[in-house]
This record gives sequence, C-alpha cells and structure tokens, in this order.
Amino acid sequence: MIRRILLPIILFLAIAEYGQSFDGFYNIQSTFSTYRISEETDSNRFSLSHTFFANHSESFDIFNTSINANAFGKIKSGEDQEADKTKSKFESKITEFYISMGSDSIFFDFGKKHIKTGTALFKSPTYYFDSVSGSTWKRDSNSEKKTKEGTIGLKAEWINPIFTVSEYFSPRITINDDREKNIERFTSEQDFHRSLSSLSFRIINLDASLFFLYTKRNHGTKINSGLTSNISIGESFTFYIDASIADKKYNYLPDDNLYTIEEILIKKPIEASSGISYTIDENNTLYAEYYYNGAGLNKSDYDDALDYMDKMNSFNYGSAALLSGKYGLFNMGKHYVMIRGSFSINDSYDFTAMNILNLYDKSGLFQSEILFDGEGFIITFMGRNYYGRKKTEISYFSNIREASAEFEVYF
Amino acid sequence: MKIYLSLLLFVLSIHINADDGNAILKEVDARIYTPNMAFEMDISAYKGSKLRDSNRIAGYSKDSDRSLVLLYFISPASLKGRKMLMEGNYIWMQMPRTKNAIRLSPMQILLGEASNGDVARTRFSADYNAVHDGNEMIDGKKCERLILEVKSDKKGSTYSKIILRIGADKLPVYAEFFAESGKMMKKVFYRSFSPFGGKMMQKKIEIFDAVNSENHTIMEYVKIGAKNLPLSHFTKEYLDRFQYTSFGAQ
Repeated sequence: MIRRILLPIILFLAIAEYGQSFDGFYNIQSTFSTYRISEETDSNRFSLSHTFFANHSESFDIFNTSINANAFGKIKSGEDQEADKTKSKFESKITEFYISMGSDSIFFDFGKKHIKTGTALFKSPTYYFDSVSGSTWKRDSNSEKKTKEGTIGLKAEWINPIFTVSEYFSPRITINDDREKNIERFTSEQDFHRSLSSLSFRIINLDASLFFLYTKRNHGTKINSGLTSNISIGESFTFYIDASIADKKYNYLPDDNLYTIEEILIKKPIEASSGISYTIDENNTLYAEYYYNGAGLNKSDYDDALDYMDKMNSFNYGSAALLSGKYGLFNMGKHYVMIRGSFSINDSYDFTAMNILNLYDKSGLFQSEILFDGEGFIITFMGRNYYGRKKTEISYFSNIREASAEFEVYF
Repeated sequence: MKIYLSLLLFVLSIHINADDGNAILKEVDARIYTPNMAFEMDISAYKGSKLRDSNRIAGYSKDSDRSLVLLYFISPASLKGRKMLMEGNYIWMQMPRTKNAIRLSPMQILLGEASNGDVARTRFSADYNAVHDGNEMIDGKKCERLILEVKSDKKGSTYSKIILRIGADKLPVYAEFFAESGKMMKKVFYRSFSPFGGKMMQKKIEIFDAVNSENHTIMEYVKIGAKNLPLSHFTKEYLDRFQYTSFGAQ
C-alpha cells in the first residue's frame, strides 16, 4: 500500500533529475474527535485518526513543450473502524495524479485532478466537482489542494487575454471496489459521464465565468447552468456571487407511514452564494457570505424530517442516519450565513476563525485555527465545534467536537 | 495689459515646462530597459543595519500598455511557491497549495518598504504626467527635477505624485513618492545601472520609509535575461499553471 503512494514520488524524484523545478510538501494531520453516542446519557466515544499527504509537482521540457506532472497521495489511519472489523485500519488513495501540457495559449490536463470552480468560500453552487460529502467539512477554500480528491478526466483550455474557454470531460468509471482488501483506488468512481464547459471573461472590474454542466446517468440526464462573478469595489472590498440552476434535483422525506424514505422531485432549483470580502492586507481578510439553497426543505418538511430522524434515532433505527446521510451537512436548510476572519498575529503566527449558521434552526459550526510557520514547516492547531439544540440539522452529524494538529514540511 | 501678458507667459511657461517634463520622462523611459525579460531579484528589508526580512522573487515582465508582471517567490521557505500576477493596479495572488487566486491592491502586499507598485514599475510615462521643475544637486550630482502627477485615468495607482531627479545621462537618481493625501511615503535611490538589451538596466534600488527612515529596503536584480512570454500567460486563468523555471542569465 505504502509502495503505491511512494511510487509516484520516487518517479518524480527520478524525473527531477531531468526537470527544471519541483515543488511539493509532506503533511501529517492528526485529528482527535469526540463522538456523542447517546443524547440521554451524554456518553462519548473518542477517536484519533492520522492522515499523511504527499505531493510532488514537477516541470520539465520534452520536444520544446513544457510538461507539468503532479502526484498527490494520501494515507489515512485510525478512523472509527470498530463497527466493521473486516475493514482495514488504513485507507490509501491517490487523490491527484495528472500531467499538464500546452502551447502558448492552449493547454491540456490529463489524469486525476481536482477541478475547482466558483469563488464562494463556504459553499459555491458552481463547485460541481466537490467530492466531499456527508459529515466531513472542508476547512475553507484555501485548503482545497490538501484535502480534495480529484476526478479522472481530460481538460482542454484556451486562454487568451480577452477570455478563456475550457472544456472538462470526466468519463463514467465503475470499478469493482474491494473494500475488504482496501484496494487503493486511483479512480474517483462514478457511474455517470460529466462534461463541464466554461467561458470566463472580464469587463472593467468585473470577472465572470459561465458554466454549463451536462451529466449523463444510466437513466436520463441532468443539466446545470451556472455563473460566478466578482467585482472589486475600491482597494479593499470585493463582492462576489456564484449561482447555479439545475433542471431537477431530488429531496428525501419520510413517507406517511414513516417506514420508508421517498424521493421528491424539485424542478429547476436555484442555488446562490453571495459574499463580500474586506482585505486589509495580504494576511488580514474578513469575509461575510450568504448561501441560498433553493432545494432546501420548506419549514413544515424540515420539521417533519427532523421529527422523523429524532424518532428513528430514539429507536436506534438506521433510517435516521440514512436520511441525514442523503442530505449531507448544510444542505437541508434554505438559508445559511458564514463569517470568517483571518489575521496575522506576527510574522510567524496566523489566526483564523469561521462561523457557519443555519438561519432556520440556529445550528452551526464554529472553528478556529492557529498556524505557526517555522520556515520550511507549518504547525497548525484547529478546534471545531458543531453546535445546535436537539432536533436541528447539526445534531444528526456525529462529530460534535474535534481538535486536530497538523505538521507540514514543504520544499 | 501687463497683467494679462504676464499671465499668458506664466500659462505658456507651465505648458512649456509640462512639454519639457513629459519629453524628458519619455527619454528616461527610453533609456531604461523595459520588458520583455525574465529576472530574479533579492528584496531585503532592514531596520537600521539589521536585516528584518529577505525575499528572493523571480518573474517575467511583458512590454504592454499595462504593467504586466508574473512573479514567483523562491524564498523564504514560507513563501516559496507563492505566485502573483500584476496587471497595472490589479494584483492576483495565489498561495502555494491552493486553487483560488485572491485580488489585492499594490499597497496590500508587503515586501519590506517595497510595494509591488515599485517592483512592477516599468515606465513612468505610462502612468504620470511630468513638469520640469529646475535643477538640484543629489549626492554631488547635478540633477534635473521632474514633478510627476498621476494621469487622470490611472487614479488608484500606488502613488499619486512623484518628485524625480534625473542625472545628465537621463537616468533616474533619486525620487520621492507621495500618497494621494500628499504625505511623503518613500524616498528611493537608484544606485546602479548596467547595460542590458541595448539599454540601461537599474540593478539596485534602495527604498527608505519617509516616516521612519530607519526602515529601508534594497531591491537588487541578481539575474536577468531576455524572455518574451505570450500575452495569454499574463492572465488570472494562467496563474494556476504558471511554473517558474530557472534560466541562464545574460
């Protein structure tokens, strides 16, 4: 397993012999979490997990064409494996592995790459290739490369000074994922084809991108159209908006007899995030962001769903987790806000705090982070607290409190 | 009548001084080597004689109607891999290991006393109108004094006014930079010129904080070479793809 992770690194070190430059980092992250397992007894279970990331990026010339190669691997251990003894304690994955090449204005990326689209920090509706779901939550958009798994595909991009056109195609890849042996997966398994076309341009102070996403599934297709834009106001303020409309989406609600969960079709739901950032200097920034989820549940459905999860949970039925899992975090409600500030304490220490709030049930997430940069290595301590009363969106996600320490060596 | 004549002569003299000033400024710009080039530069910030901070940055500049510069931070280790695109007064910065580029203004980026406005400056005459304002001795050298006011369409530039002293060889010797409020921000000495690409290249620039003169920064080119990257590389979209590769110096 480790061999599979190290192989690309060794490969790139070998290539570095002929290359012109390389960048990369090693990152070890340890997370300590408390899981509240019973509301009544308030008893907790503790878990400790470690994640090791390795990234190498190499640039070299072949036949006068500059080629950039990236490998990014992850080994994770110590997750809560108690429930399933057949699972290995280790998970290993190549999260990114791609090469980039191009001419003066036309570029290609081939392989497994994380495709980031959208400006919003908390949640961008145009972030179509965000592979994170469920109870995990990204720290913020500035940690994308560390934690995000890419998708396999081919990207072609035409960049010129006036506009940029790009096309990204990610094919259907279904493999036999043998979890018992925990085979390291190179692919990001998906049972549909996806094609994302985009056009980006600037008009005076306004930067904008238009997106068109076509998804072909076994039964039918799905279409999303999106827009991201940001405009600078004076020296310090930037206003941004990301919006997307899908032709359809499904919600999940308990049926009348409360034994099954049924799919509810929603036609043309709109999602939008808008925010404003205030930049004091390169190290000190404030953000405020509002997220509107058109596919979110209306008040009565929201209360029904939470009632259902609460009842099923008290009977210890798995359907509560099933329903909450279908939504993931911060998807059930219609209105959310986020504020985030990052500040430089001195040359070595940075402090970041972020709060996300579900405006309907007032549950949310608060996290803070202190980063020490020691010239060649970074140590980060992060605390994360999910808060909310019983029968709120947050209360059905198991990670209630979490503390993590991260050590990173970069070169 | 005498009053009107005096007024007319005064107005004409201003006009002539402005014409002279702009002509001299264009001459200065023509003497100094402007892009296209690749470079590596050391930026060292001092407090008194003590070194506070040191950066080595590499980059490419492009001859264009805007100041176009791509920068890559080589050191210190904490900044290595940071990339910046400067398009006039727009600066896009991408931190290492991230996907999003953030927009900053030239004054929001801290490199000792040197703002990116200083680093990126390639031509004075693109951003400023000049008026000739007599002569002055600087470091024992007779210099022409030019007062530069930012052009109306370049408002938002790092400095709204510059008083520039030019040597007999039409190369800058010393300048004072003023903010929009009229406050003097920096004093800059252009210390060393050497021939490059058929013109003169300012190899070393010393910048003093006008408020606290103990704080000063030295910007020094350690490597330069001719390089003409395509215009498409000086875009925000290209920033994620930008990889700096070392080059042979000229």
